[in-house]
Amino acid sequence: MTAAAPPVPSVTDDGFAAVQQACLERGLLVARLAGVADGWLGVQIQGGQQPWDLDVDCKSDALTRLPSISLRTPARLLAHVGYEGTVCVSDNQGLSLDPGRRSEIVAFTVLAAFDLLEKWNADAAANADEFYNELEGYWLGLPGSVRARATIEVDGKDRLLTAYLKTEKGTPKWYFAEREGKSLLAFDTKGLASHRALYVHLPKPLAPPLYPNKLGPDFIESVREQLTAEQRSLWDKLVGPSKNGPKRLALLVSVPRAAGGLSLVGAVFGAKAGKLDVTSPVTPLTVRRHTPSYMRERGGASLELLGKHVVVLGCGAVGSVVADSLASAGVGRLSLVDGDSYSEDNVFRHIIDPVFIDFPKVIGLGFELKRRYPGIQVTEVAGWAQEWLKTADFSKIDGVVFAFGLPTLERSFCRAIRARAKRRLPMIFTWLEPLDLGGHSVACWTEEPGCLDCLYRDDEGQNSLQVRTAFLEPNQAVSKNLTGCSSVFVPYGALQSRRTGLMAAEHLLAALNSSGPSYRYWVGDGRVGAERGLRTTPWRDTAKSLSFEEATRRVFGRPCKHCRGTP
Amino acid sequence: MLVDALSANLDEEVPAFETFNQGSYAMHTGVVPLDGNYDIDVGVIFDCNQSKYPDPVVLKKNVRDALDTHGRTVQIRRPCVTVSYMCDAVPEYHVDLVLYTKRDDGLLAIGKGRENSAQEFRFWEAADPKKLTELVCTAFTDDKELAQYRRCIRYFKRWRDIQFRDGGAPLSIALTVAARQWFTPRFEASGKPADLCALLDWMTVILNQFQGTVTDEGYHERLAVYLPVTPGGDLMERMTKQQMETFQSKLEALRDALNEAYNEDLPEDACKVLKKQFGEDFKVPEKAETAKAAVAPVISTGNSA
Repeated sequence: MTAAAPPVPSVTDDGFAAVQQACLERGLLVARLAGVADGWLGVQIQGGQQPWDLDVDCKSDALTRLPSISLRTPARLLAHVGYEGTVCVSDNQGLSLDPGRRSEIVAFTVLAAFDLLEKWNADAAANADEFYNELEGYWLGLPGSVRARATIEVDGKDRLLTAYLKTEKGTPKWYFAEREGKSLLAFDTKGLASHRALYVHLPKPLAPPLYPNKLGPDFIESVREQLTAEQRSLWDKLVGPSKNGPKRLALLVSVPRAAGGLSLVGAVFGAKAGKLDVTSPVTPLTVRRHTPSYMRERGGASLELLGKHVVVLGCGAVGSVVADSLASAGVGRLSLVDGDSYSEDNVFRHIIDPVFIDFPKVIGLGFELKRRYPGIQVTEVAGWAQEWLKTADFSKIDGVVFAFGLPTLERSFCRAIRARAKRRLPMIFTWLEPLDLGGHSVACWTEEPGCLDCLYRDDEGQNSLQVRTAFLEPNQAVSKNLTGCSSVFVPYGALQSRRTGLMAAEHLLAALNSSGPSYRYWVGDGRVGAERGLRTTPWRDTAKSLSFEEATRRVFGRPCKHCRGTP
Repeated sequence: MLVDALSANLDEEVPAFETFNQGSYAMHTGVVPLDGNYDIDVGVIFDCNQSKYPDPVVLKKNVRDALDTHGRTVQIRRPCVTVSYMCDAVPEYHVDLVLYTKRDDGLLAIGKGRENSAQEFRFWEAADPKKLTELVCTAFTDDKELAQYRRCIRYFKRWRDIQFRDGGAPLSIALTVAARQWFTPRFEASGKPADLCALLDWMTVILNQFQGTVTDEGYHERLAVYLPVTPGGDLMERMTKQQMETFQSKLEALRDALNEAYNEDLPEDACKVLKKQFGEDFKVPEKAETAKAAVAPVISTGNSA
C-alpha cells in the first residue's frame, strides 16, 4: 500500500502564504476570503480605519505587468481605484519581474494596493485632487463607455461642436470637430451622421457615478445646473428643437487637474422638445485627443520648441533629415530652401516619397513634414539660397542650418549672415564625406568669435581651401557615375546621410540653449574607403579619441581675421 | 667626481649620504643661462636625524671643507652649498648641493643658514623635493602634451631671464609650479603642437590669477603660486610690490606680443614680434625659408550633403 501523495498547493494557496508572510513582517492582520473566481485570491487586510477586501489574480504569468487586483465593492471614490474596484498599483512602465517568484509578486501587489488605499483614505482632500487627476481613467471604466476622438483643442473655451457617429463595423465611434474652420488633423467623416455637440469647461469637477450606479440623465442635469448664463445659451442651442424630432446629443466637459492641464470627459444623451430626455440612456464617452499640442507632449516633442523658427538651407539627403528631425523634436516652424527638384537619383537616400519626382524637393519635403507632424508650419522656398538671403528677415529666425556640402558657398554664407543678421543666431554647417568616412557639424554664431573661416586655415594660420576637419585628403577621385558624366555623384548611403543629419539637428537644438562655437562629428569605420584606396588625414585618426570639446578647441583655434574682435 | 670627492674628504664622524638630482635638471625644464653659468642641483641626504646637527651650518661647513680643493670655489649659501667650476677665471657651471637630513615622518629636512647667519636663521625645515619633482614630471601622461608643457616652461623661463636681467625676477620653481597648475596643452587639428596658442592661453590664465592683496606695502595686485608639497607656502611671497607690478606689466606685454604674433600673417613677422620678448637670439627665419609652394586655387574635397 503506498502513501497518498501530499496535496500540491494551488497558486492561490501559495499566494496567500506569501501574503501572510508579507503581512506578518509588516505587523498587519490578514484573513483569506471566500467567494472568488478560480485562480483569484481573496484577502482581507485590516487597515488603520477599515478593513480592505481585495481580490488578486494569482494565475497571472504576465511578464510585463503586475497581476490584476481589485477592491471588493468600492464604497467611495478613491484615487487610483477604478469604477469596478480595480486598484492601479503601478503604471507598469518598464517593470522587470522575476517570473519564478510568482507568489511573492502576488504578495508585493497586495501590499502595494493596501498601502495605496490606506494613503488616499487617510487624506480626503488629497484623495479628491488625485482622484480627479485620474478622472479620464475612471471614466473609461464606466459601464458602456465608448471611445471618441476629437480634433478640438481642450482649451477651456466653451463652444458648439459637430459630432459624427460611425456605427459601421463593431462598436460605435464618435468624432468631434470644430463647427467652423479647418482642423489641422481632420477625420474622414464623409457619409457619417452629424450630431450637435457642446464643449464646456467647469471650474470644478462633478462626481462621476459610484459602482454599481450608471451614468444617467442626472449627471447631465447636474452639469446643466453648473452652467453659467453664457454656457446656458450654448446649451439651449444644443438641445433646441430640430426638424427631426428627438435626437442624440453630445456633451464634452473639461475640468481642471490639480496636477496641471485639463481632464476631458463626455457623454451622449437624448433630448426631446428642447429639453433633456430623462428616459433616454446616457453613454459615457472617453475622448482621445487628436490635437497637435497633445500629440507633441505625449510623443516627446518639446512644447518650448513650438515657437522656434529654423531655416534649413539645402534639402538634400542630409538637409531633409535635419528638417525631419527638427520637426519630430517639436520645432514649430521650418523654412525649407532648395532650388533643386527631386529626381530618381535621390530616392533611397532622401526621405521624400518617389511620388514627388520632378517636384521641387522642398514641396515634397514640406508635404511629408506637415502630414507627419501636426501643427507644424512649413514655408517652402523652391529657389536657391542666395535668393532667399536677399529678403531673409533674421528677426524672425532662431537658427539656420546649411546642408550644402559646398565649402566655398558655406563660407560665403557664414560671412554674409554674420554681417546681416544683427542679432545672435546659431548657424549649423553640416556635410558628410564620401562612402563610410564620416560626417561633420559645425556650429558658429552670428555675433561671436569662431566662424566657419576659422576652420579653413593651415597650421600656420594661413587661409586654406582644405577644412581642418577633413577626413579625406583632397584631390582624390571619389565621385561615381552610372550612366556617364552627366550623372556624377558622390557615393554615400542613407545611413551616412541620416546619421549626419540627425547629428546636425541635435547640434542645433543644443546650440539653441548654449553659446560659443562647437564642432561635432562621427567617424565611420572607413572600410569601404580603404578598399577604394582613399587616403585619409591624420585628423580622422586623431578625432576618434577626442571629446567634442577638445576637438572644438583644436579645429577652431584662436579667432581668425574674419571674426577676430567681434563681441 | 664631486660626489666621490665628498665621500673621500668628509670627516669620519659625518654620516654616510646618498644623492639625487633635483631642480630643473631633474624636471627637464632647464634653459641655457644668459651668462653661461649652468646650474645643477643635487640633493644630498645624510643618513641621520637633524638632532645630530642642531645647527645645519656645521654640516654645511663640513661639506664645504671637504670640497674646497682643486680650483673649485665653494660657498655656503642659505639653502645650499654651491660649488663653482671656473674656466679662465669665468664661471663655467656650478653645482648647488642641497643638504638634507632624515625625519621620522618620511620627509626630509633641508638645512638653512649661512655662516654669518644669526642663530634664528639656522634651522632645518621639512621638505619633500622628490615629490615635487614627481608632481612636475607627471603633469601629463601623453608624451606630446608633456613635451609641450616642458617646452613652454622653458620659453617662460627664458623670457624671465631676458626681461629681468636687472633683478626682481620670480623664482624658476614658481614658474614651473605655475605650469603644473595652469598649463593646458594645445594642438592643431593636424596633430602639430600649437605652442604659441598654449603659451598664450597659459599667460592669459596666469594674468587672471592676479588678485588684489593687502601686504605691509599696502594694497596691490599679486600672483600667488603655492608650493604643492611640504613646506608649502607662496613661492612669490618674497617679491615686493614694485617687483610684482613689474612682473604683471611684463606679463601683459608678453600676452599682447603673443597675440600679435598669432595674428601676423607671415612667420617672419611673427618671429620679429617674439624676438623682443625672448631675446636677440630668437631666430627670425628668412622669407625664403617660409615661402610656400604656390597653392592651387581649387581643390576637390569630396564633401556632400
